[in-house]
Amino acid sequence: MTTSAVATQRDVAFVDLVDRLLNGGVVVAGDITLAVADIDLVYVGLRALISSVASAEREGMPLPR
Amino acid sequence: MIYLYAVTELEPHGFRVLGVDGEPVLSLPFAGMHLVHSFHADGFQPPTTPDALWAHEGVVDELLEAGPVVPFRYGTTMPGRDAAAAYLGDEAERFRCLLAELRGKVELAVRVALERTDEAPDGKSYLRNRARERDLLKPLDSLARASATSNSAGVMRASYLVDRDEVDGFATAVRELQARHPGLALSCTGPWAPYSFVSASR
Repeated sequence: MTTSAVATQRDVAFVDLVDRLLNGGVVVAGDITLAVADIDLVYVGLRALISSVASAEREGMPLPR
Repeated sequence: MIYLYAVTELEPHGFRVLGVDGEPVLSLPFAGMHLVHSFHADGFQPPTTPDALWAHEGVVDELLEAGPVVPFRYGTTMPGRDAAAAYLGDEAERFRCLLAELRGKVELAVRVALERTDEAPDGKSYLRNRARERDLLKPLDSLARASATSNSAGVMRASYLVDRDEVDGFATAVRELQARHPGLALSCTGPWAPYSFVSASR
């Protein structure tokens, strides 16, 4: 596997990671200290990723982890 | 203050990885379970950087290798161990049930980039597309204990709760799906801790 393929897989996994860590998991009422602005920052990077993922994935995505 | 990673059934015996912000990871027993956390200065704000998110995931991933895990959402903190113990005392039954439910299972993530058209579809083709998208991933449902899907910005995201033994079979099913639909951009990652199957909003 080429280095860029590895990087792409990690990018794909990162999008799934962000989905899970920021939208999933047990929520303790009132104690999430993340500022909304911070989350927006992460998502800006994410939209860029999503658009680039499609072409890279056509080679087929094995479970990367 | 303390940062919370997860609640586990088994007592963790040391951690190979460091936690968020490079702090050592610790565990605190409560009601027969264990709260995995790290200590931080008062006013600590968990950074929203890829490294920090991966650090959280690294801890949870290590726990997942050993047994069932109920992960907290990223960024969860409490003033200290006393506050955490009080909260967990109240919620012990909920965590016990979740751990029992999740034993031997992991989460897999599937993502499909949907075809986009420039012109707005009429109502009929919109409905037809939606139905087709829904049917697309149906073959995966029979391999999972539970699933959750959402759809936004042209990407369909699905989470599956899968028996550990079924992970290889599930990956094969995804590859078959990709082979059947070569025009589709399909991805599958995991195994993850069951993040999508522990939040109250499920």
